[in-house]
Amino acid sequence: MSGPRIAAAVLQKDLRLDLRSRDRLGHMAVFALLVVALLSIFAPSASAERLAWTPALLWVVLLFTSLLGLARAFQSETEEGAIALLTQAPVDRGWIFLGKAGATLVALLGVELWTAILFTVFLDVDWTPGLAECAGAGLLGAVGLAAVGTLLSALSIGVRFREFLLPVLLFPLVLPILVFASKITAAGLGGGEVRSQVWVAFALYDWVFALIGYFVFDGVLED
Amino acid sequence: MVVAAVMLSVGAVLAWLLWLARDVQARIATARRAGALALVLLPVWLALVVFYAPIEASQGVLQKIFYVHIPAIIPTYFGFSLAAIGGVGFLATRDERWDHLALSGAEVGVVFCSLMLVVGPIWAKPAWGHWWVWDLRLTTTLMLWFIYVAYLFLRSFAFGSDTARTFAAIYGIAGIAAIPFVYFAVDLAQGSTMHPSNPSREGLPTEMGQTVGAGMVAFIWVFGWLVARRLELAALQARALTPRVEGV
Amino acid sequence: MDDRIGWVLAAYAVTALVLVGYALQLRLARHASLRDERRRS
Repeated sequence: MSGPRIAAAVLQKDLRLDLRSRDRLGHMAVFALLVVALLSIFAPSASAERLAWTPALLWVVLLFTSLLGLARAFQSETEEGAIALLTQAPVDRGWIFLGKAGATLVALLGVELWTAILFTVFLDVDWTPGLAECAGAGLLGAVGLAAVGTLLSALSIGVRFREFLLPVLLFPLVLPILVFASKITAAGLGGGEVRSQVWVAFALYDWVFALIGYFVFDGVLED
Repeated sequence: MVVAAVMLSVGAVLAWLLWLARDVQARIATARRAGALALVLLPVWLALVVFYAPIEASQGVLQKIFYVHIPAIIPTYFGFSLAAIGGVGFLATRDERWDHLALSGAEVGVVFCSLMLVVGPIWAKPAWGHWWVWDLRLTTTLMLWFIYVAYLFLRSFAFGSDTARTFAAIYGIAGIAAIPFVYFAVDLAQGSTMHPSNPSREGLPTEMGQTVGAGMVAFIWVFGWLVARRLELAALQARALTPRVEGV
Repeated sequence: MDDRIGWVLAAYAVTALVLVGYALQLRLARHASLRDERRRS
């Protein structure tokens, strides 16, 4: 079985699991709802202030919600002991990483859409002025979070204090995602401009970490 | 000339540490010479700070903290580089010695990184009125510290095993890959900076440049000596774990 | 003399303390390791 086919197979399996059990997706959706609802209760009501904070707030909510999903990225494999099966696949294991990260990407895109709706409902955010920018930031952000998150999730399998370790490992590495995405979102909503270097850096970041994940996954699965 | 001295020191220490890591127990005696060198360089640097460096016009004596804050930068990044180099070496060869280099570099590096984060505020409070300023350099150093600490946590939680070493090596690589992006991101997020602008771009008075240079060279050798000692400890502890079954 | 000299001294003192402290800690750990080794042989 060729590399891309394996990746597709892993992707499909995970998506099917996600949609069937609705555990992971459901938990992330409810979590996002809870956080946004709470925020809207004590968020500043003046619309200028609120607008200034919205992009940062959005990405913080997305970060924590993704964390929930990432912690479970390899849950099905560890529970069913399927990791051993994966490692026996006679193929470049980087493709397994891509499949896994792909599934996470889809889940994250779904979460983003849901969170955007929540922000509209609870915080009166109008996405239309900056739809293109926000969508772009959303896509690049989801790819980055999926790549880095899937890698780190794998790195922390079976490690003690994983609920503590995963965020500690993740947050410093994804700061660039948060900054780039919120800057672009802010520019989109407020009608400002973002230098093209930001887009380039963002895309480069995603590319670099996708590559790193792809190349080192061999080492990760060795056990 | 100052720059040359600093680069020479970095090169020398790097070469020495890479050589030392190959057979720590046998070669550790060389650490004494490094230690002695550091002990000579430190008083020279301090003398320069007190007697040679001029009192700066706007900040007065307070500015002299500069000479202990800036020299800590190189060991901070040097340590992280060693962690990355060691990580790559380990992934490529599966030889434990590379991993020891990574661990030692990371540990000593985090010490210097923490120093920067403590001395910075000691300077900032009297100079600009705030303990902490969210500016580019300090913030990036803080992020670097977080990455270091995460790396060390990962190592400690995963127990000493090849799995742990592999994972740590990977995180080290991911960490160092992230740093340029973090720098760019923090710069983007800040906009303006309260940090004193890079003096070398403004033309630092020669005496100041030489004093900072002396500090950098001294700290590089202190760093080297500490890493050597840490390597020794790592080798000792590794020996303790291997059963005394193999012959020779 | 500038009264802010206290801050300067604090900065240098902290640096010295931390570096010496870490070196000492390494030394202690080294002795403990060596002692353990002697006990085992």
